Amino acid sequence: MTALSLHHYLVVGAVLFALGTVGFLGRRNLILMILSAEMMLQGVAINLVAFARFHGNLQGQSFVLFLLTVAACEAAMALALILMLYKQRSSLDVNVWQDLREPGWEPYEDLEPLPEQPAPAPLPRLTVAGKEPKKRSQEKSHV
Amino acid sequence: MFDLYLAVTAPPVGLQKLLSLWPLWLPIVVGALAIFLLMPRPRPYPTVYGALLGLLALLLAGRFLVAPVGVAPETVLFYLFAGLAVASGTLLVTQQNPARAALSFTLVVLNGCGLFLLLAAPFLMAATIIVYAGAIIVTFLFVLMLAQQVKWTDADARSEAGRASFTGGILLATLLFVIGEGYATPSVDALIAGVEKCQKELASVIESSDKEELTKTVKDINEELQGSEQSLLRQTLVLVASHRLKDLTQRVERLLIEEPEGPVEKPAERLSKQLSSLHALLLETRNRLGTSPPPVDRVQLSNLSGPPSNLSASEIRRDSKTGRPMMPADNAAFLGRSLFTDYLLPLQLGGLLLLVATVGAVAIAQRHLDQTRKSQAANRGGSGGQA
Amino acid sequence: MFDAALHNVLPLMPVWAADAGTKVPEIWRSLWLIPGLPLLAAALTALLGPQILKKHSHWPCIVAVIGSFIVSAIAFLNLYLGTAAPLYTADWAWITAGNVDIPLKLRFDALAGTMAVMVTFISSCIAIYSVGYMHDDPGYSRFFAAVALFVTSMTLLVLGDNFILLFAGWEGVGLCSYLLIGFWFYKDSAADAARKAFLVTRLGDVGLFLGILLLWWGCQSLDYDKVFKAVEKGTLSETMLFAASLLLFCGAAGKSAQLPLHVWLPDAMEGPTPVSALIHAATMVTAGVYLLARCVPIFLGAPDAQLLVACIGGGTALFAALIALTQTDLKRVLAYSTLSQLGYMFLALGCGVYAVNLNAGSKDLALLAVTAAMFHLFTHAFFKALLFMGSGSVMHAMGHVIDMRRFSGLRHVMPTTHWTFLVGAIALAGIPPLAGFWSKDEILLAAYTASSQTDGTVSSIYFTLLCLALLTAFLTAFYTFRAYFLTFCGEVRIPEEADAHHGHGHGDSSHHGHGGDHHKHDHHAPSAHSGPPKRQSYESPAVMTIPLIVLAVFALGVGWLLGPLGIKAFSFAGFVEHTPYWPHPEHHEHSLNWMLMGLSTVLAGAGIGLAYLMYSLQPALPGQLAKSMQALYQLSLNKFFVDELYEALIVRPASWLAKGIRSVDMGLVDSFVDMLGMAPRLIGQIFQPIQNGLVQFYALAMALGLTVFLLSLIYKM
Repeated sequence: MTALSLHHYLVVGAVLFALGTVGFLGRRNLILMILSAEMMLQGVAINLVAFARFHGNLQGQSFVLFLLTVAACEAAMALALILMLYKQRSSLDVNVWQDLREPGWEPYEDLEPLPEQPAPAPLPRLTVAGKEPKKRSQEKSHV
Repeated sequence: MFDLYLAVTAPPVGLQKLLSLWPLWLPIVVGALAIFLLMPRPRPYPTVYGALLGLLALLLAGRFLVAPVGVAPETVLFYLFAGLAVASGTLLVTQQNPARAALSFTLVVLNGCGLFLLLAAPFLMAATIIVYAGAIIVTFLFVLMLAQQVKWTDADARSEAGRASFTGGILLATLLFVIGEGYATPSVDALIAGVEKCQKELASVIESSDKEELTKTVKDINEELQGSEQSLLRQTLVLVASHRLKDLTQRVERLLIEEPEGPVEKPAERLSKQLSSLHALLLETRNRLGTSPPPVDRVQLSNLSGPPSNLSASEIRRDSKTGRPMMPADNAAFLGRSLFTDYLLPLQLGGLLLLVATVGAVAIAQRHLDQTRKSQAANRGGSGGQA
Repeated sequence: MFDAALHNVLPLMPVWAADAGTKVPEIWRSLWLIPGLPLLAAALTALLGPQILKKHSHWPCIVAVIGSFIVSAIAFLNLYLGTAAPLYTADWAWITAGNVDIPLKLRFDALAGTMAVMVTFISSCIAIYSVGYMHDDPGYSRFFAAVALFVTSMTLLVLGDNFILLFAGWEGVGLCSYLLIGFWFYKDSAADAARKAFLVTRLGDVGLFLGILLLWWGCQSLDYDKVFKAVEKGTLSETMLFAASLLLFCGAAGKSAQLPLHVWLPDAMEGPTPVSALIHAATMVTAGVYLLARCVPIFLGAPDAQLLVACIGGGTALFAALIALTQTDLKRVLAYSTLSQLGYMFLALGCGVYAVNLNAGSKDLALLAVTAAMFHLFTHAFFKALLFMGSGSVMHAMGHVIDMRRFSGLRHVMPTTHWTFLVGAIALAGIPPLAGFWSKDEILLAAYTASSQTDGTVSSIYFTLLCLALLTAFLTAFYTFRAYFLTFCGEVRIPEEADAHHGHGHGDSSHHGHGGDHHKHDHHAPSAHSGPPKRQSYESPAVMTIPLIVLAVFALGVGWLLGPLGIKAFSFAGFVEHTPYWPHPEHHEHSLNWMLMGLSTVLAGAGIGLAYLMYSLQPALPGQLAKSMQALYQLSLNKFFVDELYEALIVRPASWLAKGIRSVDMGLVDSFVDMLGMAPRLIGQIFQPIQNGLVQFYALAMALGLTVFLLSLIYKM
């Protein structure tokens, strides 16, 4: 009976990496792009640990620890910068930042409009303290 | 160096060969299509189509991409964790709500940690859960809270579905092809299966006390083992030689030329010994496919993180049943020793990196805070001055 | 009689060695000071003048030129009192490549020494004069730097021992002439005149350089010694000698303004008057005569070329004299008279025919001719410089008005200028015993001897030239005294500018006439702007009048003292004939043709008399004569329309050609180059869409690139 080989784990790592790439290239939300990058890192981590296992030493695992450190720092910095960008333009869309295009070229604009979205439900409100709430006419209970 | 990894088989050229690789690209194509359908759009497709296609892709991948092995706890867990990881990854990429995407990332991390556990890395499992799921994802959620929008914006509702899925598919296909060329073991698996079949036959015949059947079976198995051109030993020899594993080649040759001396006493036992040594050799081959041989001049490399890198693979302690190297049970202690001896400098640098990142993040946020305070003060001062 | 007296006074009599040219030459390194000191002064003035020296910028130049003169004089005395063997400087290897060997070497023999002394002396006089003339000019230091550089180039020209140094000096004087004619470069007329001078002399220089190359081809060397030895030996064929002579004369014609390259000299009067005096009277224009005098051995082998030289010289002399009859600008009159006198010198040079196969001439004639030319050059330098400086003094006093119709009777208000100018005028007219008479007479003698010693058409040509020369002598006297009477005699009229601009800048001379062009409308009422004098004296300051007096003394005495009837010991011809490679004299006696001398004196006197009649006694007569001979008058006034002819025949086609080529260059070549420049831009525009600013697009490109890389690993591309 054969056991799992290195190839299996490498495939899983590759699939996660590719999914991360898809998310990075496809989604426009800055935060989701960074999240996809983190998923790519996760795929790489799986690859490294698999190599460590099948070579019999701990080098791969040490590498993953450093990967973890760097991923944490990177996520922190990226999020700080994303916040700054959000404050500038009040949008998390990556396509608002097109100013480095060739001078004279038209900016990319979305042609299809977003569908009408229902207004969000109003948040519940508390009555102001010290006032009697308005009595409903046919109130049976206070529940 | 890379051509050591690549198999003897010629790379596919032309449409014929490309089509012959359908186990590789069929799951990928289906998966890419699924993701394309699931990606958010202003007017999205019904989710059910994408979901079904995705499921199909997962199953196809499980069947073709990863070579199916028998049922055992390890394999079941592997398929479970791997499948859930991929599914959560898909969810992350295709969710419109970014908060939900962050939570599906948590699932990805958890399943990945499950895989870590299967790979004898318990410390890493714990560390990843704590750092990633505990800290990083929470940070993401905080930022999402700070950058909240009332309605669905362009950022959430639009995506570059076509480009991204196409590119991801091509990238994945290429990656898997390269990995497969280097690490896939179908030929070895077939040989192992053949050897195991022989072993089972022999075992079943040895139990019975039929002499004639025993002799006949022994002769058949011998024939299959080393008689014909397509015998197992010869195939093993070809395989091992093509992968330039010199020491294994020598061992196979020794097995081949071992001729019985004198009357064949207990041929079944000898055959059984041969079969088991071949099985072990094949297992080792399987585990060594895609690794580079040790360098010629044996420089003394560190052994604080495990066996030194240039130790020849035959000298590593291996588990007899699976052929995989033995890993230390107290993983954390050995990992700590490795970190503080072999990787001391990167460790210190990593700490420095963390410090710098902290200071940097605070500096960026603080600057903004100062600006906000200044603008607020200006507003208040202006309005106060006028009043 | 005089000889005996001098014999007692001067213990060191010149011992003329018969074989002066073969003596061992002496090495005199200090000869380098003669061109070197003015060069140093030029550099100093140019670098330090505008900021540091300012008003004292003249000191380096004057000190250097006087120093140069002192060194030349010492060398000259050494030559004169010694054995007349030429002095040399040591050899400095300059150009050595293959069999080309051109050293930097100076030679001081009789010819060069005479020229050097004359040039440096007159340059010092003019430099001192310029201190007063250029007093308030903003380009003061630039002037003196250019003058010092000019003296350097001129001395290098005459002292150089090979043709290349001569050519270097030639070009140097051309450059300085350009700089100095266009000294007031902000005036269009001055800038144009400078360019015209440079370009016309350049045409001549082409011929000169071709001649030098021809000599190189024939003799494989350009040292005077080697070339002339080769010529004497007969290495060069007759055609080569003829061609070389013609080409050398081409250069001389350009620099010395002979027909047809004379057009630049009258326009060169746009420069300051000291410049005209120095360059266009005494020194630069005589470089051509010096060249031909130096190359006498070459010309001796080409009598046809000499005939041509004589014809052109004689023609120029008459041509210029005819034009000078009607000019109203005092400086223009003097310029045309310079042209005329240069024509005389070339006429003399052309009369020295000596050719065995032509059965013509003799070595005596050849020597007489060239010494006559050099003597005339020598004396002409003095009195022409004097005349120019006098006219400059007049111009300086009259507020830069030089139109003779606007002032008159200046002898009452400018006495020193008047007397020196009169001396110069008499010298130019050729009245004995002043300088011009002796030298002009020698030339007439040479022409007469040439016509008598040749036969056939050549003889009649020379005789015609002699007649032309006599006619020109008459005309010279006439127009010179016309100018004198118009300027200095009659009632005293001073133009307004004299009082208004007294002591002010010299830059604006708006009334400085442009030759014949403006005279048509200046005819009518020039006197409206002139009036009776407002001051007692308009005399120039002493710094200007003292050089005038010095030169007047020389003009008075030099011809008589150094001429054929003068002191034997000081004989000019006797000294200069010891130049190496010149024909040796067979007889030492200079024959005097009393008839010719008498005839020329009578003609000169007649000219003066006619001028007195027309411009002093009966002032209305010139106008009536002009009206009756209107065609001839206009022809003379407009310089025989030579400038217009050149404009139509040469200048316009050249400018059309230039415009055509320019349009080809801009249209074809430029557009080709522009197209080449467009190519990268077009290629760039193909790749421009990649930069669309979208982050995800860039990430996509990266991912696809990674994919290609991995695929290439598989296919081992």
